[in-house]
Amino acid sequence: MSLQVNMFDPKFVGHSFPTKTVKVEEGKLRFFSKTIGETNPIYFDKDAARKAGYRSLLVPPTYPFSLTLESESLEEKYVPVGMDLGKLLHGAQKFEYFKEICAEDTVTIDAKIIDIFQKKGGALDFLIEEQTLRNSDGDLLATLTQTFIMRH
Amino acid sequence: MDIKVIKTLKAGDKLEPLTQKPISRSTLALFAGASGDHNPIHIDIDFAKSVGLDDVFAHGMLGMAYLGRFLTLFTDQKNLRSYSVRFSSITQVGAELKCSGKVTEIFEEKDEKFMKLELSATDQNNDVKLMGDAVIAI
Repeated sequence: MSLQVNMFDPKFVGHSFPTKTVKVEEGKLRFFSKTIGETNPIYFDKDAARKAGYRSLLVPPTYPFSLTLESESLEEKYVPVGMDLGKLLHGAQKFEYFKEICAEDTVTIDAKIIDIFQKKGGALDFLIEEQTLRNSDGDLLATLTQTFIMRH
Repeated sequence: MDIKVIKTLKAGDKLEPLTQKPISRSTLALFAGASGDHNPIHIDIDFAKSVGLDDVFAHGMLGMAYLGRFLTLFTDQKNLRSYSVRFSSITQVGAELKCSGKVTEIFEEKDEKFMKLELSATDQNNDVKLMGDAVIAI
């Protein structure tokens, strides 16, 4: 076998990435909500959001994943771990929600690789990552668990 | 449908399905920018061909966002406690994702009442693209 095959390197199991901080920007939130076809004003209009009991524009359920990408791209994070963008598939995604996230919030993100394994004799290469999002008071906002797959 | 309607549902009840408009290349370009997922496999056909694919394909997270939006048509987002999906197969350009949901369980935990829902997104050929579940407080 002379072909060079990029695999997730199992030595990174348990690896924690440096803590990152992002500010939730309202313009980006509106762009995201519009792109996914959202029409509820709590995602676009601060007054509507406040009337509904939120501090500001509400972060939609899957936007925390985008916050994690804003803190560090998949490429920056995972090319050193062996990732090849052209082979990458998103296998599964889980969110657990503890407190709402709104525009202007400052969110700190801790990410850790919890498992790397192979299936089908190495044809599929799996990486599972857990991320924890907290506000500036240290309160838990959400946890994300994502499964990435490279097909060889 | 009234956003509070979900409280009256019981195990086995289905949510009224919602079909999204076909996923265009423009949507993929916009979603790349909006979501921060800039992987060229979703937006650059030359890149897709260079890795042996015929075409670009949709971000899994676009389907998950559609399904999440579908869910929040039936309940306030603040009630959402968990939401997870498996991306069963690749979603092609032009796919019209039909979002469906079914109540699978009503349960209590620590004096709070919850509803568990099974969710899916299928394309116009009835191929399953996403399968998932959500737990909401009721």
